[in-house]
Amino acid sequence: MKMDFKRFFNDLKLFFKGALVDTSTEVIEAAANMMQDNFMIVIFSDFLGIPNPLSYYTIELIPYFGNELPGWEKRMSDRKSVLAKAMGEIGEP
Amino acid sequence: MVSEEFFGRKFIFLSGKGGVGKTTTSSSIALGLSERGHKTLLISTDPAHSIGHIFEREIGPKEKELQKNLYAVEIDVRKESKRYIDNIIKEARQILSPIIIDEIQEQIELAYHSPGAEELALFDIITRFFEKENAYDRFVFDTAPSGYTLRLLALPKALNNWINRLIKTRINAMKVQYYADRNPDKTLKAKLESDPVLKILNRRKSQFELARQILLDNKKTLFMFVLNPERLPIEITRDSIKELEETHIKIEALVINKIANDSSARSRKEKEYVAQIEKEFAPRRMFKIPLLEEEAHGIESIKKISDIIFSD
Repeated sequence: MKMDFKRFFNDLKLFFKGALVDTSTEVIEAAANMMQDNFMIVIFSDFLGIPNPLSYYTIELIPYFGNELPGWEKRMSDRKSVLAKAMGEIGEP
Repeated sequence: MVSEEFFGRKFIFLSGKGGVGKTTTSSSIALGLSERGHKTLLISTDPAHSIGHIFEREIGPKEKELQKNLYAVEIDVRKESKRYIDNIIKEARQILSPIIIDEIQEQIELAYHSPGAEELALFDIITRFFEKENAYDRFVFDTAPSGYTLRLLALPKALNNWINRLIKTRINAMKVQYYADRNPDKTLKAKLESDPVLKILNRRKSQFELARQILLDNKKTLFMFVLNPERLPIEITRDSIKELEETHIKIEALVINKIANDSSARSRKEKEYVAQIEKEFAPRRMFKIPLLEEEAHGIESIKKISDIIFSD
């Protein structure tokens, strides 16, 4: 009986962690990724065809974004629409 | 103001289109300053290595003493730019996997040919001398930052806001990333301090600030324009001066170079042009340099020009 009680509280804890903490870190993670994407748009815009007058200087940052760069380029060119992206972020009404 | 006092600025830049005699003029100014006891460095970015020709010495990319108080250096902008790109690729190789390198190497190399690359490479070279301004009394450049670079610098809103916003965005992104990380290996402060991206951005920020501060300070910096007494150079000079002065950079002197002095019809026409230049660009200081009998070659030949420039 005592053991079950402990188990119940543990499950309860896991339930709230799953429902609140994990989803909130997911939200923060999504926000972090979005900020990173936006930062990359500003410094590597010429990869997307938007001229960057200082690309000769921002190229210096490539080594530190290299791993994210291919995925980022794909995400930027594959975006269906701004609206779909916004809905993905906030959830459909 | 006597010439020596007029050239009492730490950094002297000569602008003008190719072939008007910027290198000859800057060599003459550097020679004159060194003879008057100022430790002077002449910086040439002319790919034709013409200062080596004038001083009859091999000069190259290392600062070389030519005679008492006179030093010179020849910098190849394209080579410098190539080295910059190569260093980025080297750094990338240390951090990234070979597969990723394959994908991005081309993009890095493309930057070498990107619009404005040469201008920004030149700007890097010039600011390197700003950082060691105490090494010499005078720095004479046979070129000036391009109008485009100067415009970027002179408009505080353009470059400053851009770099400040980038730094802020990077810090914010790192903060949010840190909060999303359930097992961070370092404190946020340590992460921010060791971030190579922020380091590069901050280095650029101080480079822009220093350049702006020096280039816009006419107690420290002198801009001159070299032209020939012909119709087209006058028009180009008029446009360039207007463009630069919009960015708050004053062209304080004009060097009218290669004035022929004989009785030919061409010479008479040139005299008209000289008069026009003197009238139109007054009250700027004018230096009138006659056409040499032969191309500047050897210190003696530029000594004549230097004596004219420093004659008052």
